Amino acid sequence: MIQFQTVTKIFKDGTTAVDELSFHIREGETFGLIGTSGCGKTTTLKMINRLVEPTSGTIQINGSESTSQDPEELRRQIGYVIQDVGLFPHYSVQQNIATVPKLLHWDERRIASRSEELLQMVGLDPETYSERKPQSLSGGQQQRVGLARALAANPPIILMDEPFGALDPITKRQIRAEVSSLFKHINKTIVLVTHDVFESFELCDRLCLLDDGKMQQIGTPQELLFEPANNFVDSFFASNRFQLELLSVTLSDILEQKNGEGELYWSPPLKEEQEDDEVKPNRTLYHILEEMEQRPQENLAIIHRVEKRVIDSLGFSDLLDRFQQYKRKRKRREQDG
Amino acid sequence: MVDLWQFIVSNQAEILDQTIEHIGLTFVSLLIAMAIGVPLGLLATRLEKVSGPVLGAVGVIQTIPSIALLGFMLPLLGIGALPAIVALFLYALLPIVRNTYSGINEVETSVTESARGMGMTGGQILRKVELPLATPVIFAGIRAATVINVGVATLCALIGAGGLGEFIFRGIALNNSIMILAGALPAALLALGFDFVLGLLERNVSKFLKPLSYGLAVVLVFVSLYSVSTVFSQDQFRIGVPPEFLERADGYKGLTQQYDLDMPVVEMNASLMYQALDNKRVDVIVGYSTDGRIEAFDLKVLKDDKNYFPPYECAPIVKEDFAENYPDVIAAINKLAGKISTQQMTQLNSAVDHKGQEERAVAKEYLQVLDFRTEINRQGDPDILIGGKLQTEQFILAHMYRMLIENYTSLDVGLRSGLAGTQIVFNALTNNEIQLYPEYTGTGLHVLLPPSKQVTDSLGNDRDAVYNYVAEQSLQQFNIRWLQPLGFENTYALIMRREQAEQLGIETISDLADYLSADEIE
Ligand SMILES: Nc1ncnc2c1ncn2[C@@H]1O[C@H](COP(=O)(O)OP(=O)(O)O)[C@@H](O)[C@H]1O
Ligand SMILES: [Mg+2]
Repeated sequence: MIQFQTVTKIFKDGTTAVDELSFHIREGETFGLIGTSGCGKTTTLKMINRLVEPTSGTIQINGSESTSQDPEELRRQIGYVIQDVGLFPHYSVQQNIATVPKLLHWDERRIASRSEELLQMVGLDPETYSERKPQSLSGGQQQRVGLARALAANPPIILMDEPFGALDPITKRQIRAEVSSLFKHINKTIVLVTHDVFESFELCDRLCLLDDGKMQQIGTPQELLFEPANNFVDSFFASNRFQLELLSVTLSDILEQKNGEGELYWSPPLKEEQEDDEVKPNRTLYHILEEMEQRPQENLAIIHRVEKRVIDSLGFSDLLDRFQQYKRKRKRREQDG
Repeated sequence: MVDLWQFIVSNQAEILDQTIEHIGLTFVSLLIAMAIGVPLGLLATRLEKVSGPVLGAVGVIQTIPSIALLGFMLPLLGIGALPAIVALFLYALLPIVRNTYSGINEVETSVTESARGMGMTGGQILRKVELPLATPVIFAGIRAATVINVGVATLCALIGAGGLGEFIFRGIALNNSIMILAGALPAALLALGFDFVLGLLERNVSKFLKPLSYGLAVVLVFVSLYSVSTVFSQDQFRIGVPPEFLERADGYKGLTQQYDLDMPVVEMNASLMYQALDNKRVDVIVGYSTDGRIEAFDLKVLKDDKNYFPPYECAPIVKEDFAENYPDVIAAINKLAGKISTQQMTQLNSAVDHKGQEERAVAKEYLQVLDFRTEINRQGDPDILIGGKLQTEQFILAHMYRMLIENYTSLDVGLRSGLAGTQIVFNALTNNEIQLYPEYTGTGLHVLLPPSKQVTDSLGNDRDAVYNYVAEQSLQQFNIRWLQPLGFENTYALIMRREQAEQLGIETISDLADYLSADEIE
């Protein structure tokens, strides 16, 4: 979908912000650009929609070189969300969302119904918020509108630069969770810039870790954690390692029975019927342990059933044991391979 | 208050005319400033390199005193509405350019960046995002420019552009506060009114933007047509007249009746007149017969063949009690009596106006030629203040008296020269704010005393008779003593370019009147 080929950006003042960067972002994945502040994440992102032009190298989007397209036309097909949102203060929420559709000359009715749909999608009641001005919204609500605006013309690619960076921790968590599930529904190619490793682990399928404009490693969160390409990658995650490991390992990773057979339930269930209290196998251990702490009952466990037969029952300490086993297994695999 | 009302009612036609001229000057210059200032401010935001020079330049223009700016305009664009509009336009530029620049720059970068990121073109960002967001700031600049322009436009009366300044300057010259108010009050109301209207406009700017820009275009077309037409319609014979002369008893009205003169009048500042004549912006002026620029610009004083202008012998005047208390000062002053001829005074004036010498140096040199002492120059707190009007010779004379008094008495003298208008200087003298200034007998007769027409007719053109009458009456009425005359006369005079006068064979004012009436018949 997006292909960087030895892309370098040197600013007029001589700063090399991006240094010979090559990678491929696949269609439909959520791709994270991470690294310390000033490592070149924003510059890399802005080269995709040509807000910054590379000094050398090429960027292909959908197989055609980005420089061969008119920059404005290109940008209208790429959603763009930034930390400070940048809503137009003199426009209503609805007018803000309508920006790109208007540029694309959609008819009024289509724009109205689309903006209503989008407001609902980002969790804002259209009747209450359509006619409001941005300054009457909270930071979280503004970012929701910003997201709706980026999605308005249904662009296949969305670029996000620290979209949750300016929000308070509670709002941030909440929106992040919503966005995470939204992303799963809308099948878009998303490039997310963040300096928050937890965020990148929660949201991204694959990560690209940059340092000083150079790529250090590219891969899934687990790969970066358990198979670091160099010392920098290793030390980058060192201080949060345990938490990140829990965030990167999913329930299905640690089940005895592989290939995702059977069903998983909470026991005792929160609801009347056990069948209604299902656990998704792709939940991370972190979230499962967290939920275990939050549920009111004692002696909680996750039951694994295959064809109505219970083959596994995992309590808190069992989960941690399995997690340790999994890590050892990975390490062996790494040493062998 | 009642007087003011009566004055306004009885002069309503003229006030209305001046108000319309005033609005015209303000608005036309403002619209041009908007049409040029907003794009200029935008340019500065786009090219950071030019922003410094552009903002600097418009800032510097703002620091030029308005009267000086009008003076610069004179040789370039002459007199009348065009140079006034250009000067006003230049003044209006700073607030508009600066506010456009800062208004656009104050738009948050996150807003413009997201606009760009969504695929808006530069023009779309400007029209849909930056300009709407900067509008309140730009409008504040336009409002400031309007208020400035309403004020500065009063000065445009000095270069014959009309407007409410005409009454203000005539009022200042005659020390007539009613007349000043009759000009100043409508000007203040105009400023408030414009500010209010612009405030309304600002709140509804989106609705007005289109009609406003069309209106702007129409006005610009008219202005350019108008200015072109004024530039090319200069074959008419015009006379430049200072405000004071228009209202004086021995002024313009009497002159036109006596000689049956008929020509378009341009009211303008006395000190700018000679230049306007030299630049062929007017063809005749009412000036002073001793002005140095007559020599410098090679001008010709027309002979007053019907003896319209009374004698204007120059003599220092003081309060009677001062004369009694300071006989030594009076003696020092009188050393100069009869020592300066009209021709000598003209040369002294010319040395200052044309050759650019300092008044002080010119005064000192002349006193030295006459063998007076000039070495002492006291710098302490003055015991005596010498006043003077805005004319060059009054400055020179003030310096001469200062040197004489400081060298021949033990007193310390200060100067208060350059006061605007006869009444102002005279009031300063009677109120003991100054102790001495040179006055002219004709002015004393017509401005200070104004006697009945019978009396002036009986005095006629007799120098001594006028001096004696004025001296006697001044003592009686104001307790003012006229000292001995200096020797020269500085009368009002009609002045033309020598070249043109000779070409047309005009020697006297009657010749001029004949020429004009013949011209009309053609
Ligand atoms: N317009 C610019 N001109 C010069 N240097 C820049 C510019 N933009 C960014 N940089 C520099 O490039 C480097 C990378 O910046 P950026 O991509 O914004 O980093 P990040 O988003 O990872 O924090 C930094 O050193 C920054 O100072
Ligand atoms: Mg950044």
